[in-house]
Amino acid sequence: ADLKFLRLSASLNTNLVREIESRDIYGSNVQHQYVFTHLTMSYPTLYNTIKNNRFLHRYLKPLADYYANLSGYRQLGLRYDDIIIEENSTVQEALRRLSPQETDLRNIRIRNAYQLSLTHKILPKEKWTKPEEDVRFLTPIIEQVAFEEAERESFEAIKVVRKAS
Amino acid sequence: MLRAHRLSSKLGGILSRKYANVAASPVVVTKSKTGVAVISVEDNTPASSVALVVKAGPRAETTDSAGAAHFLKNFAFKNTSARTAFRTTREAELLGGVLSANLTRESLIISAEFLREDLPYFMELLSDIIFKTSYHQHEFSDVKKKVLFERNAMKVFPDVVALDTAHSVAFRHGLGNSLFANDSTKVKSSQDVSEFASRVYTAPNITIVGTSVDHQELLNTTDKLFQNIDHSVPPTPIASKYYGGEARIAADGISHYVLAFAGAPAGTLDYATLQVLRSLIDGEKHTKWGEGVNALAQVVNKFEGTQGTAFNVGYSDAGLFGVYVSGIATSVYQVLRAAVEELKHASAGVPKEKFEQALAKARNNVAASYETRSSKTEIFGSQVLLTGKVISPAEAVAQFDRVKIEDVKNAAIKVLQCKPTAIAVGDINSLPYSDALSL
Repeated sequence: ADLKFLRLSASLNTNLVREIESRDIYGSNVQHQYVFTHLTMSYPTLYNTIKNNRFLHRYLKPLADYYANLSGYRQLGLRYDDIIIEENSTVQEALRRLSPQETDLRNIRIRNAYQLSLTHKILPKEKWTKPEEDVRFLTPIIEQVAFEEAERESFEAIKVVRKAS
Repeated sequence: MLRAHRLSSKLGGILSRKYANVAASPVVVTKSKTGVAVISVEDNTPASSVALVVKAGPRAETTDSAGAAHFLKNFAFKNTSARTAFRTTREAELLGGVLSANLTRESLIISAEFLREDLPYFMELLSDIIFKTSYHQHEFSDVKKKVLFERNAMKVFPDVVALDTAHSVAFRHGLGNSLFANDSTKVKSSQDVSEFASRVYTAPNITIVGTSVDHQELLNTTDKLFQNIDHSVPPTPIASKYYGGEARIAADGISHYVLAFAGAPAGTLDYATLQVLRSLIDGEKHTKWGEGVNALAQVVNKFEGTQGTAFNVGYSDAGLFGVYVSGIATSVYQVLRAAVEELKHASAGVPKEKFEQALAKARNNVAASYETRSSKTEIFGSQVLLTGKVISPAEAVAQFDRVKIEDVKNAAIKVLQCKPTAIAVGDINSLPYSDALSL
């Protein structure tokens, strides 16, 4: 994955984030709200702005829920994290770190969804994934793995300055 | 000399310069406001070291947590909430520090060696191990691989196997718990390790030993970093009891034999007496092409490829004294018989000249044991942790002034009266049982 334009989301607030920012080729030190995608570049988002603003949240959250339901993955019994593209080293490592129980449940969901897609059917309404069940169990692990990869890259590229003795 | 075997793992670079110490350096012991004892030894070297000596050796394990000490030692320097394991390693390398974790039977020693000015960083690193280690489950599989690797590496050294088995046969629980986690360990997840850690990482269980550091700075840093330490007093361990017994382990290659008896706790007069007895019957030769001074050394020399050493290990409330022999099975038998003969001669009476020789050698061994930074850390740390006071090298050597010939004779009589611990590793069809040794 190309990590040159990597920005970590505001929730991972560590020294490392500031270090990356300061080595930014554009020389900017402003911490924008960016969403990290493990694939290539990141894109700007208003996620936190809406989440923190009660007024915006009240009117935009139902729209967001409607969009999520329309996507169709819940009708196959899947969770959002089941459909993250896994053919890259970051997500592979994150999946390796998943507990055996979670791995088994994920595999069952994916197998069932595959069978449903072959037969061009969807589950009956009672069996659709409920919004409370649609937990992001994998995304925090992916973020941690991406953080570790970025940390390694930044240490590889580090410029050591000898302390004035 | 056969020291109690330890596990150690080192990260980073190695210091290459050594400075000769002219006089015995003063040892300062203070109890920090947080309840943790802080010891510093002034060595006047440009490189300092700080170590956490924790009462978290296999002795602190219960039946539910057998093997946890070995796992905990390998969890040192893993991910904490402050920095990842990778970052810890890289930053220590960039600063030129050496990080290591060692396990002895009664303590876990987590140490860092660094340049003087980096004390705050490495103290923070060490305190993060206590408070902020994450114990992730995915790290547990890596730790488990390392534990298995160390255990399999141990099997390549039959003398380590023999000594470990000698302890488990002689003491059963407590001091008898193996240094290495074995297949029957109850530790199956990082949660088990984390529970063991929260039980042992308490203020009465921890000592901080610094060498070549400013004592006041070390004390202030400890006060600041260990503020939130748990103060619960751990349960007192069961008093050690010596049982004795036999164990025979078949193995390929040359044979090894450990014949051990009840020893004495470290630091006591009995221990010093046994040190003299050990030097008396030792079969090592200390010059390259000499024949060795003692009678046992003469016997060892007659058989090619044979080694016979006497050892004396002391812990807080018990010890092990004995002889370690290696070679082909028939030579081992001959050397063992000679060693038992030596003990019987000592129990009949020790000639004055031999006594003086043994006394000088024992004094030298004890003084030499305070030589390196790591042994000083281990010795002073465990002394304060287990007994509350420090015995300086000068005091330790001066203890030998109180050892008399009669004491050595009585020690030899006592040794011969106790039930032996006989561990045979190698060609067990030919190696003798302990009752064949006319003890």
